[in-house]
Amino acid sequence: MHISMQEPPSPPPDPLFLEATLARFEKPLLNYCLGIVEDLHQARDIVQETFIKLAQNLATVDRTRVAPWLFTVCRNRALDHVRKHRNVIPMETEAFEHEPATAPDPAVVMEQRETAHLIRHWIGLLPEKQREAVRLKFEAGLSYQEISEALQTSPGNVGTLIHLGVQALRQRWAQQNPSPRL
Amino acid sequence: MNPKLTAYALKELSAEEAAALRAQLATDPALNREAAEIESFCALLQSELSPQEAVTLTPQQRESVQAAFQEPPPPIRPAAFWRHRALLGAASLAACLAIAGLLQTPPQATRLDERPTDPSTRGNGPAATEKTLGLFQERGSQATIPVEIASVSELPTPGDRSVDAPRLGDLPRHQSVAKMETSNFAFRAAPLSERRNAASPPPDAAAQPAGLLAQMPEAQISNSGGEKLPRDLADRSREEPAESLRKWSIQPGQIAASADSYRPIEENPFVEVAREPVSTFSSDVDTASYSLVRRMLNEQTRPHPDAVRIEELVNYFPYSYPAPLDGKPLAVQADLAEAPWQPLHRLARVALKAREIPRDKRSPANLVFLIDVSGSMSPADRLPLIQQSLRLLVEQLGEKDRVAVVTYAGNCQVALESTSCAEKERILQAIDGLRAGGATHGASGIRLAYEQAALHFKKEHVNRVILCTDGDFNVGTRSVDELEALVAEKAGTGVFLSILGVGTGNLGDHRMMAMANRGNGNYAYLDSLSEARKVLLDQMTGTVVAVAKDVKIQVEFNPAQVAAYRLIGYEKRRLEARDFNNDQKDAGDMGAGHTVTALYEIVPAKLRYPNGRPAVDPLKYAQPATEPAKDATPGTTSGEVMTVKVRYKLPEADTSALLEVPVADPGKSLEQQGPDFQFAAGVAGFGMLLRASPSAKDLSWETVRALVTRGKGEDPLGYRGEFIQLVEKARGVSLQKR
Repeated sequence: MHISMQEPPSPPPDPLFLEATLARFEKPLLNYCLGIVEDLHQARDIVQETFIKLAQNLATVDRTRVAPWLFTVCRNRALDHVRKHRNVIPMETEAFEHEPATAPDPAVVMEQRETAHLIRHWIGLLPEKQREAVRLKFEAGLSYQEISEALQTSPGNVGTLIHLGVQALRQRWAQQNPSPRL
Repeated sequence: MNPKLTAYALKELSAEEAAALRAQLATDPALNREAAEIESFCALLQSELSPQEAVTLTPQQRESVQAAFQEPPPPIRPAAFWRHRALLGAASLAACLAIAGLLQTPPQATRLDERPTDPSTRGNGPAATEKTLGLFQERGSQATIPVEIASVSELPTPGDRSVDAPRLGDLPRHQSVAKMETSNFAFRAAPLSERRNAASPPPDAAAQPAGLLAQMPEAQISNSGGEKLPRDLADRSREEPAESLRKWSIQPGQIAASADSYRPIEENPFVEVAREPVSTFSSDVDTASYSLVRRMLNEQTRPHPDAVRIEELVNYFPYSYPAPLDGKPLAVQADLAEAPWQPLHRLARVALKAREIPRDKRSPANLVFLIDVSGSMSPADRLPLIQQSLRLLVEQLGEKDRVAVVTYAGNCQVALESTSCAEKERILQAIDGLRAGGATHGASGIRLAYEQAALHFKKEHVNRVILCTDGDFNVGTRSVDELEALVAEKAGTGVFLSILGVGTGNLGDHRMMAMANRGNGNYAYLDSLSEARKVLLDQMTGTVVAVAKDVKIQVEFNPAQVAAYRLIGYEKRRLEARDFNNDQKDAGDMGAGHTVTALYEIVPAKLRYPNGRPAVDPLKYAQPATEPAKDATPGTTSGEVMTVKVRYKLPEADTSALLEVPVADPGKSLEQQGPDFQFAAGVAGFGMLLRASPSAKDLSWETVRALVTRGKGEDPLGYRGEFIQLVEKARGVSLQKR
């Protein structure tokens, strides 16, 4: 006998799935969020909210696409936060580069920051789409497929964005590293 | 500029694309150089940007997130009329009347038909409704529902809600419970209304504390679904709602009788030393019985007595026994205290501890995950749990380790060739890519897994197949013997087998245990991710590295001191006395850091008989041996209660070594023997009560609780604390029976 369904139901709470999701994505999500808000406390709060939101919306979330869902929600919240607290809407490269307060002298950056911070700084200078794709790839560890779902674009386009982003970062790395102008 | 180069460096190309690109790179040095640069730069980015250890949620945050996981999701939107709160009351009233009529006609088909479409009977809130339906859809969307009972079986039973074990919360329910429900199909319309009064939560369900909120709807579902309700329901309904729900949530005290197959355990009787001075058994580090018992108790079900293997309960917990000295793989100690359930008797503890191997010092591992991906593995507590568990394990492995993945269902295949853990991402992707579907053919999958293990076999490495299954070998070779023979043969070649069991219903418990034993491996039952963490991480080196194999224990009792003895548990591990010195005879293995505890209940010689009457009348013709032997030298051995002998082989050895420990009884009490002994005695008592052991007549749950509470010790991993809660649950379940 088959059971006929009339209404789209919502599943019961599913702690096992959620626990597994938490175990899998806690760190990537937090790392990714940290890349945006640059404040561990804020990032933690946002990630906490994101998981709670997942629990509440489990009924409507496609479980095979939970990664894109999480990162989309997390990014939106993180960007909201950044907007509120910086009063600056992060836009294209130029906007950032001409923003004196957030872009200190590269030489100072070189001296004071470690490689990771330097790279994160350069990522911040990438065009928005590239920046997002690169972050989702390297900070969050998502696959092209997952990134394409999170950014609502094709996997092929994700490949291009990441490629361009990586090339730009590589160029900066190559410029700075063989002959560092300290 | 070619995006493919970046995709290649990030391992995002399909196998064909990657092969094509490699061919191109081979002919184009410039492109090859470019690819190498991109690859090394991507590696730099990955290492610099990937999450750091310290970047996690705070423990408080994680707790609050996990608490949210336990709450039923709020309704999506008031799309359907029955989700609309305003309409709900009216609808439920109407349907309640309707169902009252239905309830008097018990056929299962009716019940199934009505279930998904009569939300109002449980209509306490939208969450309740959606929950049932959700489960139904989950089942229904899995292509087929073989028979009605199968789908009924997945309906929630409230037990796991009402207990304090959140992570178990949503495992698919125990089939047995559902079967009991269907067989005891006694509906009573009258209590329905009472029940609704008793448990109707305030209108704003979201304002409820999580625990309570979670309990209510399911209890109602289950009750409306045909559970026999106790007569005194009206009284109980006056209690605090959650409490009363807990009580009638499950057929009280019902013993789980299910498709889970357990071999009957016939408890070891008291043996008179005069007749049989020597007791011989195999060591055992399996712990699966504990997880099974925990699962059932968390479902408020009384575990089937044959699922309660006391030695596995006792051995579930880590004990701080002294580690072996002078390079030996094992340390043996034995001591005595009073038996808590019969203070005139003594309780002898035999404690083995295997050498610890620091994680970074262990031999490289050559692991093959053999994963059952048959249709029965699709529920969340099966394949997805296995995937998460193996992820945990793989993330702990080092670059020298290798992992292969073989799957079996209708046919078997190598999902991942043996791969170095330097390429963890590939391994993890292979694990994540597994999907369940098809029938099961266990034997051929095992053969393929052993072939994979043989490819990278090195004698000095740890070579192990890790079989992950619900034990449902339902196609082809069903013969347990045939599979076991294969596993034993491979163990002989140095490839061992461990088993991770999951799921409920068709869990072939005895088969899995037998196979792991033959394969020189261990068998663990995973009921949750935290159990996986225990088995695979906390004890990973133990699960993977055997330090001694074929560990046999023989205890010789001194008739001058001991009248009779009873080995507690180990019924399935008993060996003939002559097997002890026979190196051909297989026995259990011990991994690094494992402890094994065996308890004997001993009737001192001065008491003569365990129950006031000899089990067998005294021998008429043979020399009575209950007096000290005449030629025994006083003061040397006559004061000894027993001698514990342990035989073991080093993992690669064929001949065994012997450890021998004489044991005297200075008359210490449990209190003096310290927390580990008290705790082990408490766990054994717990098992005896659950098994309704004849020896437990004078044992109470209070005694058990006192023992384990006093024996809790530091409990750094929290296992003992969890057990104390489990004792409470067991007491609840068994008291209801009376």
